[in-house]
Amino acid sequence: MSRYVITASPHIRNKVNTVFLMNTVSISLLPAAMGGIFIFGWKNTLPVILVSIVSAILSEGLLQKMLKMPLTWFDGSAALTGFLLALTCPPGIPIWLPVVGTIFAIFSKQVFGGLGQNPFNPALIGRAFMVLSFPVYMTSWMKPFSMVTSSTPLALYAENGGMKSVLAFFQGNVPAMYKSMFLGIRGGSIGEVFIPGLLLGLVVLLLTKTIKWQIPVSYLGTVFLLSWLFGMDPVFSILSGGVMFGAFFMATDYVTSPMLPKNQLIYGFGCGLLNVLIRVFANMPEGTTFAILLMNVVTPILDRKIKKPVGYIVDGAK
Amino acid sequence: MKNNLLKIFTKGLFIENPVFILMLGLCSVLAVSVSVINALGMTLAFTFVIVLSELTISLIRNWIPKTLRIPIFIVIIASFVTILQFLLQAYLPALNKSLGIFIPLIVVNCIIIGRIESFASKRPVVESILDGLGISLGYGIAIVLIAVVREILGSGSILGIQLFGSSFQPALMFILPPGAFLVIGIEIGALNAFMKKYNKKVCSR
Repeated sequence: MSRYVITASPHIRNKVNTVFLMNTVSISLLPAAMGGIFIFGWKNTLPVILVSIVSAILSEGLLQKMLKMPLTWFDGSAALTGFLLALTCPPGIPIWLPVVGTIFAIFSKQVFGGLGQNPFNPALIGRAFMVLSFPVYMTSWMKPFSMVTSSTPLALYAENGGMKSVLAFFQGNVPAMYKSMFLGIRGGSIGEVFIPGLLLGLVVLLLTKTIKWQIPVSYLGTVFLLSWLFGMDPVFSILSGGVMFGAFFMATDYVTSPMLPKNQLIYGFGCGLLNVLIRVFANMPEGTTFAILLMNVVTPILDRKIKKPVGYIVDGAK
Repeated sequence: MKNNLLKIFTKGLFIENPVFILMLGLCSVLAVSVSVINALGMTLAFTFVIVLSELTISLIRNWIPKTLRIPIFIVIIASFVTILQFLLQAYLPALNKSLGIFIPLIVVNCIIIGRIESFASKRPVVESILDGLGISLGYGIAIVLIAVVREILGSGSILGIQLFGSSFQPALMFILPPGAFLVIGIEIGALNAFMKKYNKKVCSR
Protein backbone atom coordinates (compact mmCIF):
# COMPACT_ATOMS: atom_id res chain seq x y z
CA MET A 1 0.00 0.00 0.00
CA SER A 2 1.57 3.17 -1.08
CA ARG A 3 1.01 6.57 0.42
CA TYR A 4 0.62 9.65 -1.66
CA VAL A 5 2.01 12.89 -0.39
CA ILE A 6 -0.05 15.82 -1.50
CA THR A 7 1.12 19.35 -1.03
CA ALA A 8 -1.18 22.31 -0.96
CA SER A 9 -1.11 24.83 -3.77
CA PRO A 10 0.59 27.06 -4.95
CA HIS A 11 3.13 24.86 -6.67
CA ILE A 12 4.53 27.30 -9.20
CA ARG A 13 5.07 30.96 -8.56
CA ASN A 14 5.54 33.75 -11.02
CA LYS A 15 6.28 37.39 -10.62
CA VAL A 16 2.63 38.36 -10.26
CA ASN A 17 2.00 39.07 -6.61
CA THR A 18 -0.31 41.22 -4.53
CA VAL A 19 1.77 44.35 -4.93
CA PHE A 20 1.92 43.95 -8.70
CA LEU A 21 -1.82 43.31 -9.04
CA MET A 22 -2.86 46.12 -6.75
CA ASN A 23 -0.58 48.58 -8.50
CA THR A 24 -1.87 47.49 -11.91
CA VAL A 25 -5.43 48.21 -10.82
CA SER A 26 -4.38 51.54 -9.30
CA ILE A 27 -2.61 52.56 -12.50
CA SER A 28 -5.58 51.57 -14.64
CA LEU A 29 -7.74 53.83 -12.47
CA LEU A 30 -5.57 56.84 -13.26
CA PRO A 31 -7.21 57.88 -16.59
CA ALA A 32 -10.67 57.95 -15.04
CA ALA A 33 -9.34 59.80 -12.00
CA MET A 34 -7.59 62.39 -14.17
CA GLY A 35 -10.79 62.86 -16.15
CA GLY A 36 -12.69 63.50 -12.92
CA ILE A 37 -10.04 65.92 -11.68
CA PHE A 38 -10.21 67.82 -14.97
CA ILE A 39 -14.02 67.91 -15.04
CA PHE A 40 -14.68 68.94 -11.45
CA GLY A 41 -11.52 70.97 -10.83
CA TRP A 42 -8.50 69.83 -8.84
CA LYS A 43 -9.53 71.77 -5.74
CA ASN A 44 -12.65 69.67 -5.30
CA THR A 45 -11.16 66.32 -6.14
CA LEU A 46 -7.42 66.03 -5.53
CA PRO A 47 -7.57 66.57 -1.74
CA VAL A 48 -10.32 63.94 -1.44
CA ILE A 49 -8.25 61.38 -3.37
CA LEU A 50 -4.98 62.07 -1.56
CA VAL A 51 -6.50 62.20 1.92
CA SER A 52 -8.40 59.00 1.23
CA ILE A 53 -5.32 57.08 0.09
CA VAL A 54 -3.16 58.29 2.98
CA SER A 55 -5.80 57.61 5.60
CA ALA A 56 -6.47 54.12 4.17
CA ILE A 57 -2.78 53.23 4.42
CA LEU A 58 -2.44 54.68 7.91
CA SER A 59 -5.56 53.01 9.25
CA GLU A 60 -4.46 49.67 7.82
CA GLY A 61 -1.11 50.01 9.59
CA LEU A 62 -2.71 51.10 12.86
CA LEU A 63 -5.36 48.37 12.83
CA GLN A 64 -2.84 45.66 11.99
CA LYS A 65 -0.65 46.87 14.81
CA MET A 66 -3.60 46.91 17.23
CA LEU A 67 -4.84 43.46 16.18
CA LYS A 68 -1.24 42.11 16.23
CA MET A 69 -1.41 41.02 12.58
CA PRO A 70 1.52 41.00 10.15
CA LEU A 71 2.04 44.51 8.82
CA THR A 72 1.13 44.68 5.13
CA TRP A 73 0.12 48.30 4.90
CA PHE A 74 2.40 49.03 1.94
CA ASP A 75 1.32 46.12 -0.29
CA GLY A 76 -0.86 48.49 -2.29
CA SER A 77 -4.18 46.98 -1.27
CA ALA A 78 -4.96 49.65 1.33
CA ALA A 79 -3.90 52.37 -1.08
CA LEU A 80 -6.16 50.85 -3.74
CA THR A 81 -9.08 50.74 -1.30
CA GLY A 82 -8.55 54.41 -0.49
CA PHE A 83 -8.22 55.31 -4.17
CA LEU A 84 -11.39 53.40 -5.13
CA LEU A 85 -13.34 54.90 -2.25
CA ALA A 86 -12.30 58.43 -3.16
CA LEU A 87 -13.36 57.91 -6.76
CA THR A 88 -16.87 56.90 -5.65
CA CYS A 89 -17.31 60.07 -3.61
CA PRO A 90 -19.02 63.19 -4.94
CA PRO A 91 -16.54 66.00 -5.65
CA GLY A 92 -16.17 68.71 -3.03
CA ILE A 93 -17.13 66.67 0.04
CA PRO A 94 -15.61 67.72 3.37
CA ILE A 95 -12.17 66.23 3.90
CA TRP A 96 -13.04 64.37 7.11
CA LEU A 97 -15.63 62.28 5.28
CA PRO A 98 -13.23 60.05 3.28
CA VAL A 99 -11.13 59.68 6.43
CA VAL A 100 -14.09 58.23 8.34
CA GLY A 101 -15.06 56.15 5.31
CA THR A 102 -11.61 54.61 4.79
CA ILE A 103 -11.21 53.82 8.49
CA PHE A 104 -14.50 51.95 8.34
CA ALA A 105 -13.55 50.28 5.05
CA ILE A 106 -10.22 49.00 6.37
CA PHE A 107 -11.88 47.94 9.61
CA SER A 108 -14.40 45.88 7.66
CA LYS A 109 -11.51 44.07 6.00
CA GLN A 110 -9.29 43.53 9.02
CA VAL A 111 -12.07 42.39 11.32
CA PHE A 112 -12.57 39.30 9.13
CA GLY A 113 -8.86 38.53 9.06
CA GLY A 114 -7.35 40.87 6.51
CA LEU A 115 -6.89 40.78 2.75
CA GLY A 116 -8.21 37.52 1.31
CA GLN A 117 -10.62 36.86 4.15
CA ASN A 118 -12.97 39.81 3.70
CA PRO A 119 -16.42 38.82 2.45
CA PHE A 120 -17.19 42.34 1.21
CA ASN A 121 -15.36 44.74 -1.03
CA PRO A 122 -13.82 47.13 1.52
CA ALA A 123 -14.13 50.24 -0.64
CA LEU A 124 -17.83 49.58 -1.19
CA ILE A 125 -18.42 48.94 2.51
CA GLY A 126 -16.78 52.30 3.17
CA ARG A 127 -19.02 53.94 0.62
CA ALA A 128 -22.16 52.22 1.94
CA PHE A 129 -21.27 53.43 5.43
CA MET A 130 -20.84 56.99 4.17
CA VAL A 131 -24.11 56.93 2.20
CA LEU A 132 -26.09 55.58 5.14
CA SER A 133 -24.44 57.80 7.73
CA PHE A 134 -24.01 61.10 5.95
CA PRO A 135 -26.61 61.09 3.17
CA VAL A 136 -26.64 64.87 2.83
CA TYR A 137 -22.97 65.07 1.81
CA MET A 138 -23.00 61.91 -0.25
CA THR A 139 -25.88 63.02 -2.45
CA SER A 140 -24.96 66.63 -3.15
CA TRP A 141 -23.44 66.60 -6.60
CA MET A 142 -21.55 69.23 -8.49
CA LYS A 143 -22.10 70.59 -11.96
CA PRO A 144 -19.06 70.06 -14.21
CA PHE A 145 -16.65 72.99 -14.61
CA SER A 146 -18.38 75.04 -11.90
CA MET A 147 -19.01 75.13 -8.17
CA VAL A 148 -22.79 74.95 -8.57
CA THR A 149 -24.61 71.96 -7.17
CA SER A 150 -26.74 69.97 -9.55
CA SER A 151 -28.37 66.59 -9.62
CA THR A 152 -27.17 63.54 -11.48
CA PRO A 153 -29.01 62.27 -14.56
CA LEU A 154 -30.12 59.25 -12.55
CA ALA A 155 -31.50 61.45 -9.78
CA LEU A 156 -33.48 63.31 -12.44
CA TYR A 157 -34.77 59.97 -13.67
CA ALA A 158 -35.71 58.74 -10.19
CA GLU A 159 -37.21 61.89 -8.73
CA ASN A 160 -38.94 63.66 -11.57
CA GLY A 161 -40.41 60.79 -13.50
CA GLY A 162 -38.40 58.91 -16.01
CA MET A 163 -36.60 59.55 -19.27
CA LYS A 164 -38.73 62.58 -20.08
CA SER A 165 -37.12 64.75 -17.44
CA VAL A 166 -33.65 63.49 -18.35
CA LEU A 167 -34.26 64.41 -21.98
CA ALA A 168 -35.69 67.78 -20.96
CA PHE A 169 -32.45 68.42 -19.06
CA PHE A 170 -30.53 67.89 -22.30
CA GLN A 171 -33.10 69.94 -24.32
CA GLY A 172 -34.54 66.81 -25.90
CA ASN A 173 -31.39 66.23 -27.92
CA VAL A 174 -30.58 62.50 -27.68
CA PRO A 175 -27.16 62.49 -29.45
CA ALA A 176 -26.09 65.47 -27.33
CA MET A 177 -27.15 63.58 -24.23
CA TYR A 178 -25.12 60.51 -25.22
CA LYS A 179 -22.13 62.67 -26.03
CA SER A 180 -22.05 64.60 -22.80
CA MET A 181 -22.75 61.48 -20.75
CA PHE A 182 -19.94 59.64 -22.54
CA LEU A 183 -17.48 62.46 -22.00
CA GLY A 184 -18.53 62.85 -18.38
CA ILE A 185 -20.09 66.31 -18.62
CA ARG A 186 -22.65 65.49 -15.95
CA GLY A 187 -23.07 65.39 -12.19
CA GLY A 188 -21.63 62.33 -10.52
CA SER A 189 -18.86 60.81 -8.45
CA ILE A 190 -15.26 61.79 -9.11
CA GLY A 191 -14.22 58.57 -10.84
CA GLU A 192 -17.40 57.44 -12.52
CA VAL A 193 -18.10 60.26 -14.98
CA PHE A 194 -15.22 60.07 -17.47
CA ILE A 195 -16.23 57.02 -19.51
CA PRO A 196 -13.25 57.03 -21.99
CA GLY A 197 -10.90 56.87 -19.01
CA LEU A 198 -12.82 53.95 -17.56
CA LEU A 199 -12.69 52.12 -20.90
CA LEU A 200 -8.94 52.74 -21.15
CA GLY A 201 -8.58 51.33 -17.65
CA LEU A 202 -10.58 48.26 -18.67
CA VAL A 203 -8.30 47.71 -21.67
CA VAL A 204 -5.24 47.89 -19.43
CA LEU A 205 -6.77 45.42 -16.98
CA LEU A 206 -7.72 42.99 -19.75
CA LEU A 207 -4.38 43.24 -21.56
CA THR A 208 -2.38 42.64 -18.39
CA LYS A 209 -4.77 39.72 -17.64
CA THR A 210 -5.52 41.29 -14.29
CA ILE A 211 -9.23 40.61 -14.76
CA LYS A 212 -11.23 38.43 -17.14
CA TRP A 213 -13.97 39.73 -19.41
CA GLN A 214 -16.80 37.71 -17.87
CA ILE A 215 -17.90 39.95 -15.01
CA PRO A 216 -17.85 43.33 -16.80
CA VAL A 217 -19.56 41.95 -19.90
CA SER A 218 -22.32 40.04 -18.13
CA TYR A 219 -22.86 42.92 -15.68
CA LEU A 220 -23.17 45.61 -18.34
CA GLY A 221 -25.10 43.32 -20.69
CA THR A 222 -27.68 42.58 -18.00
CA VAL A 223 -28.05 46.25 -17.16
CA PHE A 224 -28.44 47.08 -20.84
CA LEU A 225 -31.12 44.46 -21.53
CA LEU A 226 -33.07 44.88 -18.31
CA SER A 227 -33.16 48.68 -18.49
CA TRP A 228 -34.49 48.32 -22.01
CA LEU A 229 -37.18 45.93 -20.72
CA PHE A 230 -38.16 48.38 -17.99
CA GLY A 231 -38.48 51.25 -20.43
CA MET A 232 -35.23 53.04 -19.70
CA ASP A 233 -32.97 54.16 -22.52
CA PRO A 234 -30.41 51.30 -22.40
CA VAL A 235 -27.45 53.38 -23.60
CA PHE A 236 -28.29 56.08 -21.08
CA SER A 237 -28.55 53.36 -18.46
CA ILE A 238 -25.03 52.00 -18.85
CA LEU A 239 -23.48 55.45 -19.29
CA SER A 240 -25.12 56.86 -16.15
CA GLY A 241 -24.30 56.36 -12.52
CA GLY A 242 -21.52 54.12 -11.36
CA VAL A 243 -22.39 51.02 -13.37
CA MET A 244 -19.25 51.08 -15.53
CA PHE A 245 -16.99 51.97 -12.64
CA GLY A 246 -18.56 49.23 -10.56
CA ALA A 247 -18.45 46.63 -13.32
CA PHE A 248 -14.79 47.27 -14.17
CA PHE A 249 -13.18 47.97 -10.83
CA MET A 250 -15.49 47.00 -7.96
CA ALA A 251 -17.24 43.80 -9.04
CA THR A 252 -13.97 42.31 -10.32
CA ASP A 253 -12.23 42.46 -6.95
CA TYR A 254 -10.43 39.10 -6.57
CA VAL A 255 -11.34 38.39 -3.00
CA THR A 256 -15.05 39.03 -3.27
CA SER A 257 -15.90 37.69 -6.74
CA PRO A 258 -16.17 34.06 -7.87
CA MET A 259 -13.26 32.23 -9.46
CA LEU A 260 -14.76 30.05 -12.21
CA PRO A 261 -15.68 31.79 -15.50
CA LYS A 262 -19.20 30.33 -15.47
CA ASN A 263 -19.80 31.57 -11.94
CA GLN A 264 -18.42 34.95 -12.90
CA LEU A 265 -21.09 35.19 -15.58
CA ILE A 266 -23.80 34.37 -13.00
CA TYR A 267 -22.27 36.87 -10.58
CA GLY A 268 -22.22 39.63 -13.18
CA PHE A 269 -25.81 38.86 -14.11
CA GLY A 270 -26.83 39.09 -10.44
CA CYS A 271 -25.08 42.43 -10.03
CA GLY A 272 -26.80 43.81 -13.12
CA LEU A 273 -30.21 42.49 -12.10
CA LEU A 274 -30.04 43.95 -8.58
CA ASN A 275 -28.63 47.19 -9.93
CA VAL A 276 -31.52 47.73 -12.33
CA LEU A 277 -34.11 46.62 -9.76
CA ILE A 278 -32.77 49.15 -7.24
CA ARG A 279 -32.72 51.87 -9.88
CA VAL A 280 -36.25 51.21 -11.11
CA PHE A 281 -38.13 50.16 -7.99
CA ALA A 282 -36.23 51.30 -4.88
CA ASN A 283 -36.24 54.83 -3.55
CA MET A 284 -32.58 55.33 -4.40
CA PRO A 285 -31.47 56.73 -7.74
CA GLU A 286 -28.42 54.46 -8.01
CA GLY A 287 -27.84 50.94 -6.76
CA THR A 288 -24.36 49.87 -7.88
CA THR A 289 -22.90 49.89 -4.37
CA PHE A 290 -25.61 47.77 -2.84
CA ALA A 291 -26.00 45.47 -5.86
CA ILE A 292 -22.32 44.50 -5.77
CA LEU A 293 -22.28 44.18 -1.98
CA LEU A 294 -25.29 41.86 -2.09
CA MET A 295 -23.65 39.71 -4.76
CA ASN A 296 -20.47 39.59 -2.66
CA VAL A 297 -22.54 37.63 -0.16
CA VAL A 298 -23.43 35.08 -2.84
CA THR A 299 -19.80 34.59 -3.97
CA PRO A 300 -18.90 31.84 -1.46
CA ILE A 301 -22.03 29.88 -2.48
CA LEU A 302 -21.08 30.13 -6.16
CA ASP A 303 -17.50 29.15 -5.39
CA ARG A 304 -18.62 26.09 -3.48
CA LYS A 305 -19.40 24.45 -6.81
CA ILE A 306 -15.71 24.38 -7.73
CA LYS A 307 -14.46 20.80 -7.74
CA LYS A 308 -11.33 20.30 -5.72
CA PRO A 309 -8.30 19.61 -7.96
CA VAL A 310 -6.32 16.39 -8.42
CA GLY A 311 -5.14 14.34 -5.53
CA TYR A 312 -6.98 11.89 -3.33
CA ILE A 313 -5.49 9.61 -0.70
CA VAL A 314 -5.81 5.98 -1.74
CA ASP A 315 -7.61 3.62 0.63
CA GLY A 316 -5.40 1.77 3.03
CA ALA A 317 -2.83 4.52 3.35
CA LYS A 318 -1.62 5.15 6.84
CA MET B 1 -27.49 29.24 51.37
CA LYS B 2 -26.99 32.98 51.22
CA ASN B 3 -24.01 32.49 48.95
CA ASN B 4 -26.13 30.35 46.68
CA LEU B 5 -28.84 33.02 46.42
CA LEU B 6 -26.22 35.64 45.59
CA LYS B 7 -24.87 33.37 42.88
CA ILE B 8 -28.34 33.00 41.35
CA PHE B 9 -28.62 36.77 41.24
CA THR B 10 -25.18 37.57 39.86
CA LYS B 11 -24.98 34.90 37.17
CA GLY B 12 -27.42 36.86 35.04
CA LEU B 13 -25.03 39.80 34.93
CA PHE B 14 -22.10 38.25 33.08
CA ILE B 15 -21.76 34.48 33.07
CA GLU B 16 -25.29 33.99 31.73
CA ASN B 17 -25.96 37.45 30.43
CA PRO B 18 -29.08 36.94 28.31
CA VAL B 19 -27.95 39.26 25.51
CA PHE B 20 -24.17 39.03 25.32
CA ILE B 21 -23.66 35.38 26.25
CA LEU B 22 -26.94 33.52 25.64
CA MET B 23 -27.84 35.83 22.73
CA LEU B 24 -31.55 35.52 23.32
CA GLY B 25 -34.24 38.11 22.65
CA LEU B 26 -32.00 40.04 20.30
CA CYS B 27 -34.86 41.35 18.17
CA SER B 28 -36.14 43.81 20.75
CA VAL B 29 -32.62 44.62 21.93
CA LEU B 30 -31.53 45.64 18.43
CA ALA B 31 -34.70 47.57 17.71
CA VAL B 32 -35.08 49.47 20.97
CA SER B 33 -31.45 50.42 21.65
CA VAL B 34 -31.69 53.52 19.47
CA SER B 35 -31.63 55.79 22.52
CA VAL B 36 -30.72 55.32 26.16
CA ILE B 37 -34.18 56.42 27.34
CA ASN B 38 -35.86 53.75 25.25
CA ALA B 39 -33.37 51.19 26.51
CA LEU B 40 -34.11 52.06 30.14
CA GLY B 41 -37.86 51.97 29.51
CA MET B 42 -37.57 48.58 27.84
CA THR B 43 -35.54 47.29 30.78
CA LEU B 44 -38.22 48.42 33.23
CA ALA B 45 -40.98 46.79 31.19
CA PHE B 46 -38.92 43.63 30.86
CA THR B 47 -38.17 43.50 34.60
CA PHE B 48 -41.85 43.91 35.44
CA VAL B 49 -42.90 41.03 33.22
CA ILE B 50 -40.09 38.56 33.96
CA VAL B 51 -40.13 38.97 37.75
CA LEU B 52 -43.91 38.68 38.08
CA SER B 53 -44.13 35.77 35.62
CA GLU B 54 -41.31 33.86 37.31
CA LEU B 55 -42.96 34.51 40.70
CA THR B 56 -46.36 33.25 39.53
CA ILE B 57 -45.05 30.18 37.78
CA SER B 58 -42.81 29.29 40.66
CA LEU B 59 -45.87 29.43 42.95
CA ILE B 60 -47.97 27.11 40.82
CA ARG B 61 -45.14 24.97 39.47
CA ASN B 62 -46.40 21.77 41.12
CA TRP B 63 -49.83 22.01 39.46
CA ILE B 64 -48.63 22.58 35.89
CA PRO B 65 -48.99 19.41 33.76
CA LYS B 66 -45.85 18.80 31.79
CA THR B 67 -47.57 18.48 28.43
CA LEU B 68 -49.42 21.77 28.77
CA ARG B 69 -46.66 23.85 30.26
CA ILE B 70 -45.81 26.08 27.29
CA PRO B 71 -49.39 27.35 26.72
CA ILE B 72 -49.72 28.00 30.44
CA PHE B 73 -46.46 29.96 30.48
CA ILE B 74 -47.57 32.02 27.51
CA VAL B 75 -50.97 32.82 29.04
CA ILE B 76 -49.34 33.99 32.27
CA ILE B 77 -46.70 36.09 30.49
CA ALA B 78 -49.34 37.55 28.18
CA SER B 79 -51.50 38.56 31.16
CA PHE B 80 -48.63 40.49 32.71
CA VAL B 81 -47.75 42.10 29.40
CA THR B 82 -51.37 43.22 29.02
CA ILE B 83 -51.34 44.72 32.52
CA LEU B 84 -48.03 46.41 31.71
CA GLN B 85 -49.37 47.86 28.51
CA PHE B 86 -52.45 49.31 30.25
CA LEU B 87 -50.21 50.80 32.95
CA LEU B 88 -47.89 52.35 30.39
CA GLN B 89 -50.79 53.74 28.39
CA ALA B 90 -52.21 55.31 31.54
CA TYR B 91 -49.09 56.70 33.17
CA LEU B 92 -46.25 56.81 30.61
CA PRO B 93 -47.95 57.29 27.23
CA ALA B 94 -44.80 58.77 25.66
CA LEU B 95 -42.70 55.73 26.52
CA ASN B 96 -45.49 53.44 25.34
CA LYS B 97 -45.51 55.24 22.03
CA SER B 98 -41.76 55.12 21.49
CA LEU B 99 -41.49 51.43 22.38
CA GLY B 100 -44.49 50.66 20.21
CA ILE B 101 -44.87 47.08 19.05
CA PHE B 102 -42.00 45.87 21.22
CA ILE B 103 -44.14 45.98 24.40
CA PRO B 104 -46.68 43.40 23.13
CA LEU B 105 -43.78 41.40 21.69
CA ILE B 106 -42.41 40.82 25.21
CA VAL B 107 -44.92 37.95 25.28
CA VAL B 108 -42.79 35.95 22.88
CA ASN B 109 -39.44 37.15 24.22
CA CYS B 110 -37.37 33.99 24.41
CA ILE B 111 -35.38 35.15 27.43
CA ILE B 112 -38.53 35.10 29.56
CA ILE B 113 -39.80 31.77 28.27
CA GLY B 114 -36.29 30.35 28.58
CA ARG B 115 -35.87 31.40 32.20
CA ILE B 116 -39.32 30.10 33.11
CA GLU B 117 -38.78 26.78 31.38
CA SER B 118 -35.31 26.20 32.75
CA PHE B 119 -35.55 27.89 36.13
CA ALA B 120 -38.84 29.16 37.58
CA SER B 121 -40.83 26.03 36.78
CA LYS B 122 -38.43 23.99 38.92
CA ARG B 123 -37.28 26.27 41.72
CA PRO B 124 -38.80 27.88 44.83
CA VAL B 125 -40.22 31.41 44.82
CA VAL B 126 -37.34 33.40 46.34
CA GLU B 127 -34.79 31.92 43.97
CA SER B 128 -37.06 32.58 41.00
CA ILE B 129 -37.52 36.23 41.91
CA LEU B 130 -33.77 36.66 42.35
CA ASP B 131 -33.18 34.96 39.01
CA GLY B 132 -35.66 37.29 37.33
CA LEU B 133 -34.03 40.36 38.88
CA GLY B 134 -30.52 39.20 37.95
CA ILE B 135 -31.48 38.39 34.39
CA SER B 136 -33.25 41.71 33.92
CA LEU B 137 -30.29 43.58 35.36
CA GLY B 138 -28.02 41.77 32.91
CA TYR B 139 -30.46 42.58 30.12
CA GLY B 140 -30.49 46.22 31.24
CA ILE B 141 -26.69 46.45 31.32
CA ALA B 142 -26.42 44.98 27.84
CA ILE B 143 -29.12 47.07 26.21
CA VAL B 144 -27.92 50.30 27.82
CA LEU B 145 -24.32 49.61 26.77
CA ILE B 146 -25.50 49.18 23.19
CA ALA B 147 -27.78 52.20 23.37
CA VAL B 148 -25.05 54.48 24.78
CA VAL B 149 -22.76 53.79 21.83
CA ARG B 150 -25.56 54.05 19.28
CA GLU B 151 -26.96 57.28 20.69
CA ILE B 152 -23.57 59.00 20.99
CA LEU B 153 -22.45 58.03 17.49
CA GLY B 154 -25.81 58.14 15.78
CA SER B 155 -27.42 61.22 17.31
CA GLY B 156 -24.50 62.90 19.09
CA SER B 157 -26.44 62.95 22.33
CA ILE B 158 -26.99 60.96 25.49
CA LEU B 159 -30.37 60.79 27.26
CA GLY B 160 -31.48 63.40 24.75
CA ILE B 161 -28.80 65.95 25.78
CA GLN B 162 -26.61 67.08 22.89
CA LEU B 163 -22.96 66.36 23.69
CA PHE B 164 -21.20 68.11 20.85
CA GLY B 165 -21.51 71.42 19.08
CA SER B 166 -23.67 71.89 16.03
CA SER B 167 -20.66 71.23 13.77
CA PHE B 168 -20.63 67.57 14.81
CA GLN B 169 -22.11 65.29 12.16
CA PRO B 170 -23.64 62.18 13.69
CA ALA B 171 -23.19 58.97 11.70
CA LEU B 172 -26.83 58.14 10.99
CA MET B 173 -26.01 54.51 10.29
CA PHE B 174 -25.75 53.84 14.01
CA ILE B 175 -29.42 54.55 14.61
CA LEU B 176 -30.35 52.37 11.63
CA PRO B 177 -30.52 48.54 11.82
CA PRO B 178 -27.00 47.91 10.42
CA GLY B 179 -25.53 50.03 13.19
CA ALA B 180 -27.34 47.92 15.79
CA PHE B 181 -25.81 44.72 14.46
CA LEU B 182 -22.40 46.33 14.20
CA VAL B 183 -22.42 47.64 17.78
CA ILE B 184 -23.72 44.43 19.33
CA GLY B 185 -21.14 42.38 17.42
CA ILE B 186 -18.26 44.57 18.51
CA GLU B 187 -19.44 44.62 22.12
CA ILE B 188 -19.81 40.82 22.23
CA GLY B 189 -16.31 40.53 20.76
CA ALA B 190 -14.91 42.97 23.30
CA LEU B 191 -16.62 41.15 26.16
CA ASN B 192 -15.26 37.80 24.99
CA ALA B 193 -11.75 39.22 24.70
CA PHE B 194 -12.09 40.69 28.18
CA MET B 195 -13.34 37.42 29.64
CA LYS B 196 -10.56 35.45 27.98
CA LYS B 197 -8.00 37.70 29.53
CA TYR B 198 -9.31 38.12 33.05
CA ASN B 199 -11.43 35.08 33.76
CA LYS B 200 -9.88 31.81 32.73
CA LYS B 201 -12.53 29.98 34.71
CA VAL B 202 -15.34 31.30 32.56
CA CYS B 203 -13.46 30.43 29.41
CA SER B 204 -12.70 26.86 30.34
CA ARG B 205 -16.40 25.99 30.65
